[in-house]
Amino acid sequence: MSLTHRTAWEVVKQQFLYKLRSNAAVFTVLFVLQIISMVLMNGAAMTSEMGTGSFELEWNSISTDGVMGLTFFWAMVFGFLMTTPGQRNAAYLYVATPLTENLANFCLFGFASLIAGITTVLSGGFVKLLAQLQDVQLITETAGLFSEPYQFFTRVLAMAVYTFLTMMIVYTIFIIIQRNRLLILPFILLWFAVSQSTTPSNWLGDVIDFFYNEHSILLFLGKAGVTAVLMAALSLVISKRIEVKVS
Amino acid sequence: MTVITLNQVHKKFSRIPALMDVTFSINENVITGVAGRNGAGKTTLLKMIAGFQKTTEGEVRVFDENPFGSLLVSANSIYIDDAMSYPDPMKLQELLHEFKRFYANWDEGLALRLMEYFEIPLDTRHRFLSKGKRSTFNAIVGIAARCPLTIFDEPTTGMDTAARNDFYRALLKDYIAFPRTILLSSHYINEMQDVLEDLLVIHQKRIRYHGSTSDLQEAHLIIRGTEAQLRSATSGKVVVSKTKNGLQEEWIIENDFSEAERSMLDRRGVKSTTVTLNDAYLALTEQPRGGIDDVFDA
Amino acid sequence: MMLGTVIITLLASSIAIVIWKMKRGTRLGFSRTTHFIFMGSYIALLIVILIVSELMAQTQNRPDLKRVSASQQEFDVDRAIITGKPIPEEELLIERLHEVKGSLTIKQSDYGYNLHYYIERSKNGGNQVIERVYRPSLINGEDSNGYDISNYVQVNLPKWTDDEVNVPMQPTQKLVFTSFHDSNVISQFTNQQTLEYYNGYSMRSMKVYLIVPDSVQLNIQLESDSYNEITRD
Repeated sequence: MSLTHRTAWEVVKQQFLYKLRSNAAVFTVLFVLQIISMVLMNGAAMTSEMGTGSFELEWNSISTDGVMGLTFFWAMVFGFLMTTPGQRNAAYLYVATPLTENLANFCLFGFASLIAGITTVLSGGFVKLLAQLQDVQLITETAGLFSEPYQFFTRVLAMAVYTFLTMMIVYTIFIIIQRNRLLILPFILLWFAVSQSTTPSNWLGDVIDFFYNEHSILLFLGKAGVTAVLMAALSLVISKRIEVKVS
Repeated sequence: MTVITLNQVHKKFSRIPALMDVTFSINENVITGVAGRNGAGKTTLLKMIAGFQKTTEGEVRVFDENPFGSLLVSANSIYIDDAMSYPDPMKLQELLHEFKRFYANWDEGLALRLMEYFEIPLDTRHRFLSKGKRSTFNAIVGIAARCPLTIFDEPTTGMDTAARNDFYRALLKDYIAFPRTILLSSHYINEMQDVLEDLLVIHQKRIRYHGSTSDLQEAHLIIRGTEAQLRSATSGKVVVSKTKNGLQEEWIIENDFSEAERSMLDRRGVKSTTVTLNDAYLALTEQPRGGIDDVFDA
Repeated sequence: MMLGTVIITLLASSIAIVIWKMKRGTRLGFSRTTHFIFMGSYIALLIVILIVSELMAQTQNRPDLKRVSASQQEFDVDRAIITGKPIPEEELLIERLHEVKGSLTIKQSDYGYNLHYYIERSKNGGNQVIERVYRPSLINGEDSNGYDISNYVQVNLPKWTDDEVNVPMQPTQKLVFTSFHDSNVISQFTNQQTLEYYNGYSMRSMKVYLIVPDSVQLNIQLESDSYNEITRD
């Protein structure tokens, strides 16, 4: 029987489609989370009510912060999920190598980020509509799709890129932990160090500012791209040593 | 052409050895049975060949490549065991469709006909099947993939006798039509002996035997008679096992008898026959028949 | 309101179906196609809703509020009155003239409310009192960083009788506003990044500026800190 020669990209494409199909439920979970956030949390409303005696001012600020927060939470879970042995074993049912498996995961993250970006930004319309229907004095601070379409798309882009980075970083951390369970300890310590830190100028803040304070789309994409490539390289190098179907 | 070569391979799991000093090679288009007792290292060996696990020491070559992380090996081999982790939301027909996309030689018609024959519905999920049906589905996948290197690790777990016989028959038929290199591990030598050409016996983490099944059978002899008859007939011979059946005893001995010695046995009233493959395998792995009796007789 | 109820009911029931399906999922579960159909319809629904809300935003009347920030200093009416500088027209609610007989009593019914009197004696003589009422100002948000909602504050003007001016109790009122903004994190490349959750407000009192001729005798019945007498050279 003659041997079949496959290129890595062919297999990556097939693995990506396979992973997309076998993980379709993950997207449903995202949408359910978003709907819960939109309907029950009203996006993320904050009411401030104050006044003296006969005069009172009530100001309801609603935004898509809730949807965004839950979407990031979902991105973390998704990033973790793809490092689990179950997922790896499922990939190795078919043709797979560490290289194609990781690249397929990254493609999946890219697709998932795009979906997450689009739905998060679109959810703004829903949150706004709910407010509009409640017959309130509504002040719209964010320009809509029709009035400023360019800004609408930069929002999709920003959300997608941040979701992708979240997935990549969580994925890499858990790949490292998969390789050696003891390495979970430094990450836990790091987590405590960050969460206990009260000074606003901690290094984590600096890291976030590194991306968040960037107002040029090209530079932002460059920074995010370099970070993603670094994460990808790190997880590739590490996962090349991970054995599969260890039972 | 050699498909698999192992050269002084050692494998340890956190310092506990799983395989020691394994050296052998397997030629193209041969069906090799991999046998050994529980924990002998069969699964570890097969997973290393499939490229799932790496060696601690030594070298494994499959299709002239290190299989660990090799795309060529992955694209041309399939590994079937009883712990196939299929994604939960996918139905069997969707799983089969994925196999079709990944494996160039996949025969969909054959897969569907086998599914129908074994009465496995296409629109159900793997975890909803019974244990035997799950194994049957895995086996169908292994046959229909027609991979140049096909590895079955305990493929018949949970199957009933009829299904086992059907599986081996199907495997043999498809192999004859599309020859390929097949590794087949099972605890039951008897049921797979008809399809095997070669046998690889692993015992206590080492290779105990690798060669054709007929050579293995010819290397041993069963002799029957009273204890005194057998004792005198086997002086200077290696006795592998002894079993008592009333006054008659049955011994398995290593067969280094010449023609003259064989006729001598007949004249002494000792009956000698060739061993079954299973008996030879048991003899190799030092499982003296009736051995467990000794535990209770002590 | 009706449409809102319908949408919420629809979504709530679909969530209920999802949960119900998930509970039975051990045996049934969603098929792969169901998930993709859900994905497609969810995105399509969101797009439709977005378009509907955009269209509604164009047809509905919405409060047109001016945004102010701490850097853009509000016009300081109090200082202008004291120093006698001109005051922009829009700050003035009303200007009235009142004929007063010999004396004027100045009163205030509501002390809890923001109100301040400025009383200037003019040397012009006569018995005509000029009254200028300047509107209160209201800006939501901390540090005057928000929307100018001064126009929404209702005011009861001073009541005049022959020899008395009294500011009645101000109307009981509750202003309710809702502001919507997309999450800040994703508005990085827009010029609308400083959107926030508004908390607190700053309010400046309504000002009643009276110019009373010397000849009129004043009887001021006010708390000492709720009025200023202005003398001009």
